[in-house]
Amino acid sequence: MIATHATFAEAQAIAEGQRSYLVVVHDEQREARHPVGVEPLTVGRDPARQIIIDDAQVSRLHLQVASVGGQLVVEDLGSSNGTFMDGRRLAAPTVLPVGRWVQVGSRLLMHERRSQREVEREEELERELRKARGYVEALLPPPVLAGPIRTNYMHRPSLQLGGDAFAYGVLDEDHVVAYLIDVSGHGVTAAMHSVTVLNVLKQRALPVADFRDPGQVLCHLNDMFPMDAHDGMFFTIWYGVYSASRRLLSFASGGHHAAYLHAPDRAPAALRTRGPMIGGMPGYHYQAQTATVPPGATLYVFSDGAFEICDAEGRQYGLEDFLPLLGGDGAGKPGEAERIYRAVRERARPGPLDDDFSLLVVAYD
Amino acid sequence: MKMDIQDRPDGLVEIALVGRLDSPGVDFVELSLTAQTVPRGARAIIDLSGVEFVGSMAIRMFITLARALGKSNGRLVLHSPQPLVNQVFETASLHDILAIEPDAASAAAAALR
Repeated sequence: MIATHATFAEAQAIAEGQRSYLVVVHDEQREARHPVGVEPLTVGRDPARQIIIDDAQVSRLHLQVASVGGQLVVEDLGSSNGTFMDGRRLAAPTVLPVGRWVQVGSRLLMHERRSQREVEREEELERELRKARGYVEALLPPPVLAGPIRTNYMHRPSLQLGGDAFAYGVLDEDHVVAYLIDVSGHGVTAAMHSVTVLNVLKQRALPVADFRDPGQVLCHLNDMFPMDAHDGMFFTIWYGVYSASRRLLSFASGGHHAAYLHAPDRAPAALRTRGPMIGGMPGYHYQAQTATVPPGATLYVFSDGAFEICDAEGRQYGLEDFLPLLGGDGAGKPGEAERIYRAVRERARPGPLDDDFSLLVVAYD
Repeated sequence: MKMDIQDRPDGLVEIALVGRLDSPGVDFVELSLTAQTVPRGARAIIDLSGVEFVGSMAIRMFITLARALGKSNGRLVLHSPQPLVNQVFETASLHDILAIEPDAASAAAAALR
């Protein structure tokens, strides 16, 4: 008897020793990978299920998945909150193509087809990514919840791990610095480059630089990290220094979009200086500008992953779509960064975000 | 991602890219783009009117390609970026680093200069 398969590609995949896996993704991170065969796997909150999802939105017995004729078939088993593909609730057994996913509560279940060797290689890479992610996150400062300057932030690395990192801290009795960098590309290399840059800034390891002068800092970074000497990698940066006595923010950006300063009863101010990404143009002279910080103002510094998203219809969003999420009644309050992240996630097509999401919120008395 | 490469009678290499130049898009075109331009020191113009998104890897690819072509007496000129793509170029001050023209005619003139 000759087995039949839905497509030539599926028959070829099986001939090459590949099989289907269901990958559980939560908050842009892979949680687990389960091989799927002809015997159905049940998914639910109950510990008796083969794939257990600890989420109140998931039923005790939520769905089952099995390989049928070389295809992965998902069937919702009468769950309370449903199983969704492309935003539509599944009403019947449905084929889940390779590379696509269904949403179950807060989890995505992705269909991957891999050989054993590919799985081993990917799991090795994922271990490296997890380590790199942990390293970057360990360098992020804790939120400052009280005092005249408070912070909250959201940092959600993408599945492939981008090169976002940020920090803030006291330079001297009058000056507080905040900056965000975004290294080109993804993966461990980009993350480690961002760690190197972050450490240079945190340790103030630039020669002769006055760290209170954003233009000078960017010039020195540009000298230190030319892309030709760093495997073609460059990074964008927004760097700002606040003088508490003068209520003055001095800032400069290299290839980075503006940060935004919101203040009560004033139009938001876009804070950006013209200049290429760091490492892209040797000898460029970066210069700082200043902005007065009114009482009650809130500063938003973010990476392009916060706004360069696609929705379910494939519409590409840009900066102008993101800006209305900033400010308003919740400006500067604890949890604001997470609220904005959730709003972006709701807008974006189901599935992991393509790039790191980084948003730093600084609230001034 | 789609790429079309043609030799023009005036000696220019005309390239049209269509799709998203995110990381997978760059992975798809970079090797072929480099192989078909750099070894012969091409004067190349790239039509971006069909590109709806460029990420940092695309910027990196264009800079690397322009520098490689520059070393072999070639030249790279980008043209006709869509508004969102041009916004990314503006933010990155890419106009200071690369030749970017509003249309094919001015790109050809710049590449032949």
